[in-house]
Amino acid sequence: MAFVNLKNKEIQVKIVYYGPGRGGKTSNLEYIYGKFAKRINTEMVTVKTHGDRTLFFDFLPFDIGIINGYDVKIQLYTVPGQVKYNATRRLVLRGVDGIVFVADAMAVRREKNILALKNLQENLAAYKKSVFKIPFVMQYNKMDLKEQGIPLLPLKTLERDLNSQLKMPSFPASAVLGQNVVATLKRIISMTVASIKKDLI
Amino acid sequence: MADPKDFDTLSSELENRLDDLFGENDIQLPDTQEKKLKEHYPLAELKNLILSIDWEITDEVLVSLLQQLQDLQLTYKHDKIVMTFLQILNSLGNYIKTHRAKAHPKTFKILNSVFASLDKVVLSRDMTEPAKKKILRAEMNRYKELRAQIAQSKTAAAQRQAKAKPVITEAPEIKEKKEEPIITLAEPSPPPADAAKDKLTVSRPEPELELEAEPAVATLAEAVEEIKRYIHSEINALMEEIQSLREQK
Repeated sequence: MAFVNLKNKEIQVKIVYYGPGRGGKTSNLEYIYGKFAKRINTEMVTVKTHGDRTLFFDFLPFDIGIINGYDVKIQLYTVPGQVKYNATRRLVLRGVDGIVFVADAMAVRREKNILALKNLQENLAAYKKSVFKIPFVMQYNKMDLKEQGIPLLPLKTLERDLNSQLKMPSFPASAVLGQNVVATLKRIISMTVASIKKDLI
Repeated sequence: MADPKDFDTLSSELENRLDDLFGENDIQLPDTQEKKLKEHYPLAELKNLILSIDWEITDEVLVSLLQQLQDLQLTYKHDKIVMTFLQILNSLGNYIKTHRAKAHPKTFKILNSVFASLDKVVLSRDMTEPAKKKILRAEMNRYKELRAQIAQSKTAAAQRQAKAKPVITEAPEIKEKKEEPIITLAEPSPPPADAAKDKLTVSRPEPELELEAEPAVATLAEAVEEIKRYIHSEINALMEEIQSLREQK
């Protein structure tokens, strides 16, 4: 559950961007940071390997400000997508309040998406959390590649593969161009804050 | 306990605040020229294949890569600069095909770098010939450097073999677990009711109740091990390079 300090009226929300390697999790955060850094007045922490892959995680904290007397702080994390870094991924999931699953819409990544979602379910289970119950937004990234002639999975297929059981809000997106990056972010923050409300009442 | 009214107001205020913070009115859209270029992007397939190699090296991808490079060499046969880029990529592709995961670790970095430069040269229509040549020269130098390092590594490896001293040159490969996916590819049968929601094609039972701290501690230890393994493999690679440089002297 999110950290809620009723005495200080402070709410801290942890949102994790999860998904297969090279899917665009870091690109989501980079877009948000690149576009809104001045407005949200923050620094993004990122640790990469020499090959430009996320080794540990990316971290983008920001303060939404005082809302109805509550100071709402958001922490965005990404996990390393590479299969071998599962322990790091599980660690980042500790205390998670909301998930954005960044699926790769490229046709060649179909199986990787499914494996990553399955891996998320397993890792959440270690913390007694369920993919069916946690605030969750599905993002189908790399839609811009269609223009370059790269074969993409149709949205119907992506929905059937990844979201037919979850039935979570989903967005086709392009993290590099910023398409639906903000919509995804707004939706997950709203859902997560709403879930906190449920827990407290 | 908090007052529920407080949170209702909080939700609506939150929506407004998010609109203020992340208003999309200043989102930069790609300009039309860039869009036009993307519509006729000649390196699309090559880019796709190079990204695929970075993720997983398979026969299918490597064969397609080499085929694609051959096709592009026909397309660009009158452009010497692009041809040289393609020849470097071809050479790297062949090397990766032969050595797979045992290829020199820098190979993949250089493959990506050469492609990025080629991409820049092909897409930047206003770039002058000298500027293109400068980019090409930088990539050629990196490529030559890699070749020299590979040659050195081979010599060093041969000498080590003669001394029968086993040396770890790469991080241990951790293979993906082959299990039935929990969320299956097939269209699931229509769910009977909400009651069964959490049971949908979940092939594993929910874990037994246990203290939350335990997985976290175990996970931390595993993560530290992962990091250690990574650093260890990097140090080994560096030591190998230093050793081969010494032996050269």
